[in-house]
Amino acid sequence: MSNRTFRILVINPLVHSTKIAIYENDRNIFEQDILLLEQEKDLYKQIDFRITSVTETIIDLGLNLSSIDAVCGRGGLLRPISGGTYRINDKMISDLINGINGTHVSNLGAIIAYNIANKLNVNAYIVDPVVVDEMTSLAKATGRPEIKRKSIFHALNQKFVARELAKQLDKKVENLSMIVAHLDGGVTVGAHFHGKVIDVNNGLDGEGPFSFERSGSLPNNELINLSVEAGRQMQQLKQKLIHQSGLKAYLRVNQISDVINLVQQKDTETMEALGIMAYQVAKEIGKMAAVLEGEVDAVILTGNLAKMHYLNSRIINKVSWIADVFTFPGENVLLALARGTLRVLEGKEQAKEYDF
Amino acid sequence: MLFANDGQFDNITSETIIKNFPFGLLILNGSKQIEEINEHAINYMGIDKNTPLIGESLSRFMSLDMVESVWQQRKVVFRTETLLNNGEKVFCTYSPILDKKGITIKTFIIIEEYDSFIEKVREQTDHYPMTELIPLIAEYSPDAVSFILPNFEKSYYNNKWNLLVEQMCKYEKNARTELNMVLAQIVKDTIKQRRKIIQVVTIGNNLEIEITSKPIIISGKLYGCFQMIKDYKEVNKYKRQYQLATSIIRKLEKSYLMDDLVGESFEVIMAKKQAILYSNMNVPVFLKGEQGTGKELMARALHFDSKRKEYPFKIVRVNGKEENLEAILFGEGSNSGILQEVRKGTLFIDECMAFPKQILNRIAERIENDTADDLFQLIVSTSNLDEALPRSLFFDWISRYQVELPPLKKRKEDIELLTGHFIEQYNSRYKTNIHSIDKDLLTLFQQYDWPKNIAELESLIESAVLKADYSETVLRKELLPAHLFSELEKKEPTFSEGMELQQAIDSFEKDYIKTTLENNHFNKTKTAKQLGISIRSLYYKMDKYHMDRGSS
Repeated sequence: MSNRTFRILVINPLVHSTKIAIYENDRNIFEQDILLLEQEKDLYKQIDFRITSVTETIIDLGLNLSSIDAVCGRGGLLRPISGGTYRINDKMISDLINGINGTHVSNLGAIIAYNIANKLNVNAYIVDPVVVDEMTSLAKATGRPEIKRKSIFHALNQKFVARELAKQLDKKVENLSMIVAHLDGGVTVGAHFHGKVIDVNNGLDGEGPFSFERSGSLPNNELINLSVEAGRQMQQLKQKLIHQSGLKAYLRVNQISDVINLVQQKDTETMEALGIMAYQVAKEIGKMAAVLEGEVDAVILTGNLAKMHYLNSRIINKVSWIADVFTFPGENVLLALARGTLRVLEGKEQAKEYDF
Repeated sequence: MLFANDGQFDNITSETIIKNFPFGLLILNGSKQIEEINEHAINYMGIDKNTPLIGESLSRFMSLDMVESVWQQRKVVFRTETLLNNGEKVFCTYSPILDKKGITIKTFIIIEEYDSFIEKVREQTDHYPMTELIPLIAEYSPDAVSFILPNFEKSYYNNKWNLLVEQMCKYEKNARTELNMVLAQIVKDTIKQRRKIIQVVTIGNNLEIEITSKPIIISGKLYGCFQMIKDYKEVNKYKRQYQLATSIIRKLEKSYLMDDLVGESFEVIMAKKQAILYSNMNVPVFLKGEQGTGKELMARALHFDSKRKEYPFKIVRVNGKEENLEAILFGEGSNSGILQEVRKGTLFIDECMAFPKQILNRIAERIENDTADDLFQLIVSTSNLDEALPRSLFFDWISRYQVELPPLKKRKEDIELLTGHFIEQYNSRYKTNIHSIDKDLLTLFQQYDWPKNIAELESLIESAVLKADYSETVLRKELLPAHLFSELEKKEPTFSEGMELQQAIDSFEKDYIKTTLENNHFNKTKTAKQLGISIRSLYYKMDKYHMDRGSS
């Protein structure tokens, strides 16, 4: 069984395009970003032509659709589930269509994958969606008994780099304790205890360090004042805190690549802002070290901001006393999805069932 | 329309009105002489303020045609562009003033400044974007485009257009004039037909230009014409490169289309048509043909070039695993079986005569009894053309839908085409530059019998291309393995001068037997019968002449 080559079609729906790739085991043999030509605002009405564009792109190029062994879509906003690879089933599709946990373009990943796979009579999967929840109840508690923390983070990439490092160290994630800091549009820092993310800051809701565009934690008092000021314009305030804060607000830039350019030019303002960010990330890593009671085998820095050596070294200076620090710059969604599917196809892991 | 009170205005009111009127105003009496005129009118018309005007004929300043027609028809004419004798342009609204009986006694003209009115129109309408924005957008286009607008008064060409025309017409005398004439004609046609025209025109000796012409219609109104030109040879070059790339991918992926079955001979075209017909009718297809005639390729093309292409294609062969064949096909335990996995797609059973009868019968029954109509398309093949089909439910059923793929020797007119096709593919794969085949070699190819058919021709060409180096442009004899030529040339002369009688007789006998065998699809029983000899005698002679006694 293990000598067989598997072909996996991977689908990552984005707002303006559908990114697809075909992997032969973990070798990428074809990748394309298919632009969305139709002007359809309703996400769910895009499903049909997104499916057609995916199959037609593959067929037109002459690739053999019938040779595909499995289809993998990016998982969307499902009910909170533990990490791993899930077989897509009707229950999952109906939760995604009903937007049980919110509407997001990633919801289409599983729907498209399921549809194509069904025609080919093969299985469809999702791997580590953002709703992965392995947090302990202790970690979820807050100072207000009625408020519980939620586990929403970069599960796919965090788990992917944790596995990569384990492989490099010739160990199993199940035997390691690691802290993974994903630095990107959002910043999440997770405590990976024996393969489970037992605590992680919810970057989307404002916990933890600031990121490229998010504000991170703000003092309660100031936040209440901002809210009162905003009054009925709450949505605008949320937008501001999620999309117009962090490095974007400090440096008035729009893209991560702009920050990378600025730091290469040794721009003082940029270096100062990155200094603050490094301080906050290091502090969050320190918190997770406490969660893991100091038993940390490795610290990993990943995500697109980790492409900046300057930022990495500022963080490493502060946290290298905890454990060895490894960097995995960037994020490879497609490969991570393919690997997760491959583990199931090769029989190394059993696919989980989404069952509620 | 204005009605005068007893033929007269109240003096105070009318003077005040005229003076304060926000437009130019002019009143003419029955002799078309100026009776009243305000300052705006004098300004807009560009008349010197000291010129005496009251009582003057309006014909001094402008044509009276419009005034006459308004006078007679007693209808208001709104905002017409009017050219004055001094060259100034204004907009005039003409209105007759009628008495109680409805007879025109005066004419009333409202005058508006030309430029400020146009400016207002630009602000309010899309006139501005039409003339200013479109050329701007055109500059950003990666293609050579032109706009003829609005109302075909003006035309606009982007830089790429000018460059392309210059480049294309560099070596052709008069090409530019000819091109412009063709373009103008196409513009006319586009406007007349009010629809898109795509045309490839040949200019001079070797210029081929693809012209796309489209009318610009906004809310039903024709504004102008959009044109795009491309060097057709360039377009074709890239199209060809893309087609070649995808055909190579299809070959690697075995996801063939019908076009991948190369051939223009009657036999091939008929075989294709028939197979497609059966496949569209949702009946099974039985492909018969010698080894290497492209049965698998056709089976795959029938799937990947059909509406079933989004569903699975599965191929089943017996490789000595007959004992669990039934489980593999029909499923057992948790394994659902290929027949289930392939639903809505295509199942290809290669060399079906090697399959156990009862399994084939079961498949036939399954398809015949299926009511869901979404089971799968069945394609079966055989290269065993000697033996008669066994009597069974399956073969009685399937033999109704036979398609025969001709052996290469029966479609020799396709050899050149096929050779070219393979050379092109292997050129691309091995980065060689061969673009033609040596004439003598082609003749040899056409004389040869190709017992292993297209597969043999292809592998021969691949090995030749592999041997060629970058500078080689012609596929020559020397690139082919030497032993092959003894094979190829063996057939040429049946007997030559100076042969002994026995040698010549043998040579003739050998060729005659070979031809008869071929004509009978290598069916030895039939051949022996036709030759009037026993089968044992045929075998003896075949051995004597080193002829292959295998099935084909």
